Amino acid sequence: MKLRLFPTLVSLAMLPFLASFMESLGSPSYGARTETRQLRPEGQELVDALPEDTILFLEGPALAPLLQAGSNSDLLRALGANSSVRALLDQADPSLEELIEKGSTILDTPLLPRLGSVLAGGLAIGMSPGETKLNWTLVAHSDDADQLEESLGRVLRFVGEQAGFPRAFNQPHDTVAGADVWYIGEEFGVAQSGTFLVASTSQDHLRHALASVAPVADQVAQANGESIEAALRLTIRADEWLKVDEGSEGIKGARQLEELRASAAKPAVQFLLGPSLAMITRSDEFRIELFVDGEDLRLELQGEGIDAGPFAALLPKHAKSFAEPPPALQMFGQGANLLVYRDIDALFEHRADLFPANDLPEFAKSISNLSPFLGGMDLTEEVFPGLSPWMRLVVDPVEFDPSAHPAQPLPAACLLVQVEDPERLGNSLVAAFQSAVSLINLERAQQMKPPLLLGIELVDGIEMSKAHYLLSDPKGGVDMEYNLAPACALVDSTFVLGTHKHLVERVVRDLASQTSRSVEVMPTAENLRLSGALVVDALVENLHALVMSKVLDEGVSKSEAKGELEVVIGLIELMKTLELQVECTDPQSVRVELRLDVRDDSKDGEMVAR
Amino acid sequence: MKLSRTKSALAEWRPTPGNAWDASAAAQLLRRGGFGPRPADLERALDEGVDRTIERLSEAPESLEENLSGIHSLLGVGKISQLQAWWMSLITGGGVPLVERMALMWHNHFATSNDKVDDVRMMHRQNVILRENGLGDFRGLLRKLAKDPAMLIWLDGDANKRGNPNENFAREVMELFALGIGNYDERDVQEAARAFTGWGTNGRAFAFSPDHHDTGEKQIFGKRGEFDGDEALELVLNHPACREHVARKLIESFVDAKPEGAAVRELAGVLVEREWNIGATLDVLLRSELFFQPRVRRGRIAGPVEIVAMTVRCMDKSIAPSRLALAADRMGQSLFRPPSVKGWDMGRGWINAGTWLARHNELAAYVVDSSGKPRATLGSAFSKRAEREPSERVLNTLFPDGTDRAYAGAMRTAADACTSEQQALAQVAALAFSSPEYHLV
Repeated sequence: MKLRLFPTLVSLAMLPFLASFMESLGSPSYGARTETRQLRPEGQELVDALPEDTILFLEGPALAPLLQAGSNSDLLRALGANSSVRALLDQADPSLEELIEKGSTILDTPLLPRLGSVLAGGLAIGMSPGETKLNWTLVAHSDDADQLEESLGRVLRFVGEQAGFPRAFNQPHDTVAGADVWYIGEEFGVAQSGTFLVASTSQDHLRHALASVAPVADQVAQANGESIEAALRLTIRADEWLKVDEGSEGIKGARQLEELRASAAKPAVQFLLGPSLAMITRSDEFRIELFVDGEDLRLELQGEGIDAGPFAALLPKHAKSFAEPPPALQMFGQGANLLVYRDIDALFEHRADLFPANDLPEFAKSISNLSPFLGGMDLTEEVFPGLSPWMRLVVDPVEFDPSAHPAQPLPAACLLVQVEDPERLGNSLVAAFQSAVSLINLERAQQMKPPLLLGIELVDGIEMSKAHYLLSDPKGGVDMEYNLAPACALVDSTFVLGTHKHLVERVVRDLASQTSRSVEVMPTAENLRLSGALVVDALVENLHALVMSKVLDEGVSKSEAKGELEVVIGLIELMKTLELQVECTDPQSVRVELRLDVRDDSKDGEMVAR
Repeated sequence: MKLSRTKSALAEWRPTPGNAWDASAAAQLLRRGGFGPRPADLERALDEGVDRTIERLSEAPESLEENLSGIHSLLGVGKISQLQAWWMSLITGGGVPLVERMALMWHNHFATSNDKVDDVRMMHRQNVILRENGLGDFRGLLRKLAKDPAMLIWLDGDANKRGNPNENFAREVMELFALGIGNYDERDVQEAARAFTGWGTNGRAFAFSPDHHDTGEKQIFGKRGEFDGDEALELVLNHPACREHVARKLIESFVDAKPEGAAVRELAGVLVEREWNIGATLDVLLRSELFFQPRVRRGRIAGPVEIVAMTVRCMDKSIAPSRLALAADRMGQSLFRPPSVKGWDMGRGWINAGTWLARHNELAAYVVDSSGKPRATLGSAFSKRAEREPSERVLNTLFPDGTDRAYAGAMRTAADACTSEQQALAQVAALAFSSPEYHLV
């Protein structure tokens, strides 16, 4: 089966696999770059041997323990038994097992432990623009110069045999900084300098790297990763990348990077992603680090050197005086819970400074469209300033009435926002909800469609406005729009608005039960907690519709579409929870932390309901 | 059962040396009776002959049931684009060729647009009626559509009430669906509208409201009675013009846009003789000398859905159905959204400056990418045969029944100017798509 999954989804889905892989190998903890124990003389790291114009670094400071443990891992075997993981691995041709076997044959020793020895002191790979092409340079530090020499000799002999010149690499082709150098083709060179392995697609870079490691070539790497947590680290120098003349030097992606940075200045991006995430696209340097901690897999993305400009006004650092966060809820464990920062007041106030002129009419239009619902209140003067920028969004499954169960059931979502003046603004928002229902009914009446029935219900003494569609013909199937049974309520100073009354009712009860609400500590970061089961259940319940959508939109067969979706579902099943935190305490720096709690069904026997 | 006819337009066609069962004749049958041949279809048709080829037009693919029912999971989403893509998938190979051809014909005849109905489930239900009854008894088809909720909304059935009749449905039944202009007068329309009062919808179902029905005496086609909607429909169906109206429609769609009166009358006789069964009547038409006369071959401008379907079928390309539906839309035929109750203007009406450009752009996109470079799949689309040059490979695929020498020569010249085989294939295909010849079926 040929799988065509969304790359990002695959990447995300592979993270649990990597986590378990590392955990299964009994990997030590890995430290961040600034905490890395120096394996070479003070002040020198492997990346220092890479060319100065390197724009992308990939470092593996302590891969050795992972590689040396090989496949002797219960968890790795358990993951291998997961059908989705298996399906992904099966796509490889040759397979992973075949590759390892082939490598072992060439080296005449088990591949993974030998790689562990070669990379005992770490690995650094750099990408840099050349005159006509992209150049790659690799530096690895071994714990055994003899083993490195033997391995390199065997690999070169194999390459020579494959090329039909078995003796081509019997002798080195050159000597640089005291190191033997072999050239494969006209450009690729590989060399050994003591315990260092250096390879590059540029002779200049090869010479530079060899000169850098020569003074410490006799240092033996020690694979002791106990104080090292970062298993992998990717650094991208976006500012340098953008200086590259795209195309002429073999570098792609500069235009896309530029477009990504420009997208931060779009109102929709600011609103959907939030100011911090939107700003990270403007980083001069990105650093991505992968950590393993027990059953947790942690991915950190750090963006540095951000020029936020006027957008800094939208960041939490500049929160206005009324920035009270909505109360935390006790009820949720199945769905998703987000705390986000969206300063709508500042967005509208500074819109002329933030966005291009052709975006501004949309702001005027939205003010014009919303104003009639708010009984004459001025949106920019009276409404937006009275809303706290900290908002909470909760998502949870809905128990639909069997007679009105939509063919495509969706989880319900509920937004909580604090209002400064509950008496006036809070009640105006409730009235706006009721007016909106009336307007929808007017339009549906013109279309001869069943209306939204508006009602008011008391929930623990609190008025909840609710509405739902009248089901006219359930025999013909319940449409997707019946997922919408909106409701709203005002609980003290918290305005609650949701897509389904059952969820709003639960939120209202939760808030009402908080008799002595403690003053919330002012948050410093936006965060999301998402249950893998919520996503899996939503996908499984809508599987037939998703399959058919893929068939019609992508032209694949039904069995192909079903197979691809089942792989995705299987991979998400590996994830118990996902936590995302976006922090921006300094306008020049944004930190995003993604933490995955990987499901280990083999341990607790828990199975996800399908 | 085949009719034995002599000296008539509908006489059964017998191949002769001057009008043989050749690639041209086989292509005519596969294009008009279905949506064009796939690469191997034409050779197989030549081997198997007329009878077996006609049978194959009614053969279902193995996955037919699955292909038909797949859309059910998406109807609740309410996106007409998904319904369009689903029908396109049936037209291009997922359905029975002749059945889909007829459903498309009736969709234009009983034109109903989702722009007004605004309900995907109702549009789907009407499409099912067209598919399941399109080759059956015309009278049954008309009766079902008269009570179809989508049709009732489209033609204001809900507004047709006693004392204030709405004439839309009655008028279109006479003018467009069953009789044609000149075979009724205004009073017939007004009186029939009274008969249809009370026919409306309740949600997505047909509903008859006795309170809104006019029970008084009506006079339709000179006959008096307290006719209700069903009886009014019977009067229409029994009108002598009805059989000829249907026969004319069949000949216009399958043979000639300007049919001769004698042929229409003859086919109308066949229709009545075959108990109004469209499939049986069509069987006579598709075997007739009228159908195979060389004059009518490649003599009709293909509609957008036809040309898109024929192109992907002959190139054997796998393209997302949603893209195909969008391409047809840009060329001027958005399924489930005909521009008016009269349907689409066929023939020359398909072509204007905008739609002609869209035809070229959309079809060329199958052979070149957005930057104008030949697509990597071109080689497989135009199957390689040792003896053939690029221009021959393309023409053999797009015109399996051949082209004239001048046309082929011009294409060869264009290919010769190219620097690579891929470029030549793309260049010739793009030129062919831009030529009027390619758009004639």
